[in-house]
Amino acid sequence: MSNGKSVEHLIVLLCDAGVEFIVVGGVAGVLQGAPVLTRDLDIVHHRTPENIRRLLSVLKNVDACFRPDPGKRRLTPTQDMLAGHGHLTLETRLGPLDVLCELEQGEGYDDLVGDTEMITDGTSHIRVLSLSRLIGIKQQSGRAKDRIMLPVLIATLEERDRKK
Amino acid sequence: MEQGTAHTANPRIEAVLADLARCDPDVLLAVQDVDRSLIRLALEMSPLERVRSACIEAQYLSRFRRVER
Repeated sequence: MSNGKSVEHLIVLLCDAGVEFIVVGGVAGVLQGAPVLTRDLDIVHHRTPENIRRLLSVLKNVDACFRPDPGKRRLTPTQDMLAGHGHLTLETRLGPLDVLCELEQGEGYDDLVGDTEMITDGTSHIRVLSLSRLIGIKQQSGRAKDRIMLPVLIATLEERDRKK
Repeated sequence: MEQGTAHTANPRIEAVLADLARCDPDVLLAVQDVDRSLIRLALEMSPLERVRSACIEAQYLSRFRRVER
């Protein structure tokens, strides 16, 4: 899909299927007002058996397979992988999707859910990592790609709080 | 950094800012250079409109390739 709606459609599909997930990464910043460009969606899902079944169903629906896939083997995620601790970097017919069982510091859904906000467009309710937690995670990671995001995320937090 | 901004009430952000001031002051200096008008424009959109707009721009820019003159 090339009309800019791919990430949006992925989010809506996950919400409509009742998947419990937290949007993290760049899209979490964008959803909360950060003017940055992004093409892929990063989520941390709740690793309960029922939620993993719901997530797996959505992943099958969008033809998710691992990327990169130079051998064209089209390996697909499994229930066991989604119950584990790793990062599943996937390509779907709606674009790239990174399904993170845990963040790099070993934080899973239960560790993060207290630092999330629910946002809505009136139809879908999306759980997103708070800007303050996102800023903290990016500062801790120390990677250049995260460091470069910090000024705009901090400025967005300031502007958003000023607007309240 | 501007004084008296709302984030001063957030202990997590205070800790991050203190770390940055000590270890990475260039990042804090860069906060002052961020174009706030872009953030205000984004805040006028709905959350999913922001995502759509960010993806459209990223997809548009990713089409460009360097060509031999």
